[in-house]
Amino acid sequence: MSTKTIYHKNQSRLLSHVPEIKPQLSALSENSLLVQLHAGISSHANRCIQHLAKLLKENALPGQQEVLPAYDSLLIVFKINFLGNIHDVMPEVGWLVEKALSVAETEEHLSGSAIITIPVCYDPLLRNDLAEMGNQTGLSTNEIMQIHLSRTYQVFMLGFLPGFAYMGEVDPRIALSRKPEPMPVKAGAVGIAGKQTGIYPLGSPGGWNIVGYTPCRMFNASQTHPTLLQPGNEVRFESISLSEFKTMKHHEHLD
Amino acid sequence: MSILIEKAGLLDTLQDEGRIGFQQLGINPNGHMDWEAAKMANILAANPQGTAIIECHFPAPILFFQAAALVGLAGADFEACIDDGNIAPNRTILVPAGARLLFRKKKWGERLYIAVNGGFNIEHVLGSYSTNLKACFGGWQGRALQKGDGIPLKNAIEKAVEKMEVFPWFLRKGADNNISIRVMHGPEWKLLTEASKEKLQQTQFRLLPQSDRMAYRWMGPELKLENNMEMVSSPVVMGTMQLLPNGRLLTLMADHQTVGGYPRVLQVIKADLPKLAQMPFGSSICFEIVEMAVAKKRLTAMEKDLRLAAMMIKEQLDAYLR
Repeated sequence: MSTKTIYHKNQSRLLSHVPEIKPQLSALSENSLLVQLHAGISSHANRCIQHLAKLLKENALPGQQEVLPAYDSLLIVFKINFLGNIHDVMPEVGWLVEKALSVAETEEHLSGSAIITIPVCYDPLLRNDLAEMGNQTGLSTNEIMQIHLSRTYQVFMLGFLPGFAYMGEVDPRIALSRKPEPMPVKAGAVGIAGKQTGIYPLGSPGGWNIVGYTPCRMFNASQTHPTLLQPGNEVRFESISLSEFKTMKHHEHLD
Repeated sequence: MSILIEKAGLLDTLQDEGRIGFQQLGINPNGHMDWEAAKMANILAANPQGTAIIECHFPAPILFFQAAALVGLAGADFEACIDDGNIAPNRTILVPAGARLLFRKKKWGERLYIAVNGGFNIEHVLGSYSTNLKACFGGWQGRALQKGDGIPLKNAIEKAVEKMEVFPWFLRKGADNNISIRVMHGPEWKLLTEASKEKLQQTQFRLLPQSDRMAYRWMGPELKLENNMEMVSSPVVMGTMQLLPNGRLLTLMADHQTVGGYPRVLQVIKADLPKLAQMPFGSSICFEIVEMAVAKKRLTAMEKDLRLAAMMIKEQLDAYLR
């Protein structure tokens, strides 16, 4: 019986994901090459992108300067004085994409990527949007919190601000869309926008629905590894009380 | 010994060629807006490329030199003076200790670059000297220069410098009579309606004053997509032109985010980014679509000219300073 279940699971994965992925390579600028999978927000497509990023880091192309993975696409930036033909590296990149796609089929997780636990204080005294989210969903604030805590999230990509991780996928019951107008958001705010959850590393205007605050410093330019999260990480949230939040925040800032 | 900021300008920041290798962590590259003028300033100061320089806007700062320094000025023409002596644009200047560098009037361009031989003795943060104004790090204390800041110099000039001296050579920005901004098709170009594609190439666009180091905003005909689509955030670079939901175009500049969620319909060629960087608000321009080969040819020609100038000036200055 169990074999059969696994067989079905694999088959449904193959059927639901593989036909969507049609890799496309094109030059974005004189010195950058874009790989697009055209899959939208998909854990599977993003895993392919993460595997591709890893392959490119392990086997850097001539003149390769940096690799920027996003949801379902990835940019390879070459040195500015690399004025060889971008089209010349396409066959090699195409081969790496195929390899990444096949690795992602068999490997659920990115080898070597960590599961990181991030403490979050959902206390309404810190001014979150849980009450408003309750009105929209018909759920209690406690239910929203429990649903947010119930999943392990994948870091799809970092962007918007230094260290801002786009994570998913959020349970559809609490996947509320962005607020109509951006509001001032404090550093450490944990928000939800559609299927995504994320943490503001800096104070900024933002439209995400704020469920709580983490005392962790998500970005620190003076560290060799300046961000707490990296693409491909897996993240679990852990609920903490207001007093724990204050103590932890105090310690973070003494560093 | 330092350069003292006696009066701050509108936005004076330390920049280099940008913070490279951290974009996957959401850390944008920053760096100078006009790569050509920034290179010219370093060439005029006989510096290796990538040396930190000051990017100024108008009103520009007043700088007091505590020590003599060899300075390269390039980019915008703000009528530079050393005390009472006028200096023509894009020159190498020997500034004596106790002199002031100030700027009288905006004559041409938007961004001026000040390079000092040997560079500034400032901290390298995540592999770059560029200022990240949003996250407040890099450059000078992660912010724009303020009155009273003393930016330490790395090199001292060993020769005694008694008076200001302007060297006989100067550089000219890449001669180019083309007044349009040349662009290549972006990844989402195909999604525009045929009518929008035509409008884009036949209409003038005006640079709005809501433009800054992060992005330039354009006023022009409303452009439309064939189908309204929701895009997931995807990588962007300097010069990427996005179509906003209101049908207007935006060009990402040096302080752009690493990813963006709007269709990337065009990409400004690198050779024309300096032209954009020096363009005043209210300027009207046309976008001209070119192939990658044209973009590369032009860029290669500009870089070749700069390399030649760098060699010649360095040779002269090395002999003089010795």
